[in-house]
Parts: sequence; structure tokens; C-alpha cells
Amino acid sequence: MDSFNNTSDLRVTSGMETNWRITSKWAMFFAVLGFIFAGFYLLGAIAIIPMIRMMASMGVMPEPMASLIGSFSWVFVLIYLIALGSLFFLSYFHLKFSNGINRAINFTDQNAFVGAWRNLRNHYRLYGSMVIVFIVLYIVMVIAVFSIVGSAGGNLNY
Amino acid sequence: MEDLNQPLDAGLGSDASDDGLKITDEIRRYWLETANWALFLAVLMFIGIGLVLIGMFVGGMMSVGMAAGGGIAVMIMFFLYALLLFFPAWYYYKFSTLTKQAVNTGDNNALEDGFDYLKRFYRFIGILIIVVIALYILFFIFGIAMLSNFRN
Repeated sequence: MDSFNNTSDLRVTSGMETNWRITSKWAMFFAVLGFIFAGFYLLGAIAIIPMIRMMASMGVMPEPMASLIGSFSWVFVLIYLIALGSLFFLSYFHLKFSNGINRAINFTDQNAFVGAWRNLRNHYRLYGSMVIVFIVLYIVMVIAVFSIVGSAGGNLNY
Repeated sequence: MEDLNQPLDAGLGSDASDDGLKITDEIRRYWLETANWALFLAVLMFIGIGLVLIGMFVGGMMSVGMAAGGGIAVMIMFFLYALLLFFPAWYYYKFSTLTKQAVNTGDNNALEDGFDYLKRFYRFIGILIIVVIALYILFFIFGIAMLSNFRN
């Protein structure tokens, strides 16, 4: 008996099930919203990425920006696509969590139960990694902009 | 050492009275990792609150002379923003610490409270999103109404 229960006092209570059901409903709501926004992002990517490249090549933008985007436009495309993929998978994991936990409670499905928590873990792992990556990118961009502005500052004659 | 010399349905009889769903080691590992990421996000949000509060004082000082009560209005706005950030951060923090405590010590009450805080976090963010979307729609309608007024 003990080996099956992993010598643990932790049990699933009805209070937990109620909380999980409510959590899963909101998770489903976030997932649907996330998919809608991912769709908008995709439409935006199709429209914006060629526009940014065109503007950079036409010289519409002020100088440090234009050369930055012109020479590193693939970086922007890559960041945009990573953000889009992350948003999609964040929603996907939420959706799987929501479906899994409901299935587990309704049909006493242990596999769905384990899968649901794996998907919530995946959601938070991706979310946390994404936050770390974007903080690092933010710092890198701030440093890049400052160094470009700093080097351009010597050539400005007002 | 596990006792493997037992029937396959061991533990599925009287012991499975509590709905049959078992909290296995695998699930506890997932909970621990989820709790750790939630703690990380909570700490980031608390840092954000600190920055907003610094902004509140700096912005309040800078806009004091601009208009009557301008400094107060700016400070109240910053404070409301900090308050809005505080609740999700607090819920994440409580979820994380309670769940970790439950997994490490086998405390079932802590586990129940932990998931209660996770539910509160999701509910708070969900309602916030609905309010923001509603405000967007409201502003959109107001904008259209104002534009049509200008035309007449």
C-alpha cells in the first residue's frame, strides 16, 4: 500500500478539485485569447516585416535606427517569430492543462492527471525562460542603442 | 525497497476512496518545478512594484509644480498600478511557498491552500483581462461617437 501511495500524506480533496476546475476554466480562457492574439501576431508579421525592411532600405527612418534595422533585420524577424511561437505554445500548454485536469476529475483518469500537471509545468517553464530571454534581450538592446548613439554623437553637428 | 510481490490492484480497493486520483512522485516533481517558476515570476513582479513605487516618488516630485494637484494625481496613478501588480505577485508567492511546503512535508492543508492561491491568481488576471478588453471596446465606441460629433 505504502509503495503505491509513495509514503505521502498528500491526497486529492474535493476542495482541490473545485479549485482546479476554476483554474482550468480561466486557463482555457487565456488559451483561447492567446490563440487569437497569436493569429493577430501572424497577420502582423506578414504585414510588418516586409514594411520594416522596405523602410530601412528607403532611408525613411533616422540614421542610427535605419542602419541598425538594415543590417540586423533578420534579428528582428527572428525575435518576432520566437515571440509568436512562444505565445502559441504558452496557449497550447494551457489548453492541454485545462482539458487534462477536467478529464482527470470527470473520469478519474490518472494518465490525464499526470499529463495535465506536465503541461502546466511546461507552460511555466516556457513562460519563465521567455521572461529571462526578453530581459537579456532588453539589456542587450539598451547597451546597443547607447553605444550606437554614443558613436554617432561624435559626428552630429548641430 | 518496494514490495513487488502483491496483486496488481493493490491500493485500488478501499484505499482508493478519495476519488482514485493519486499524487505520484512525477506529479510532485512537476508541482515543485511549477512552484519554482512561479516564485521567480513573483520575485520579478515584486521588483517591478519596487520600481513603480520609486517612479511614484520621482514622478510625483517632478510634476508637483505643473498643475494644481498634478503631483497627487500622478502619485495616485502610480500607486494604483503598484496595487494592481501586488495581488498577482502575492498570489504567486503564496502558491509557490505553500506548494513547496506541501510537497516537502506532506502537508495536505498547505497543498489545498496553495492551489487556492493559484486559482485566485488565475481569477484575478482573467478578470483584469476582461476589464481591459471592455475598456478598449468602450474607448473605441467613445472615439467613434466623438468623431461623428465632430463631423456634424
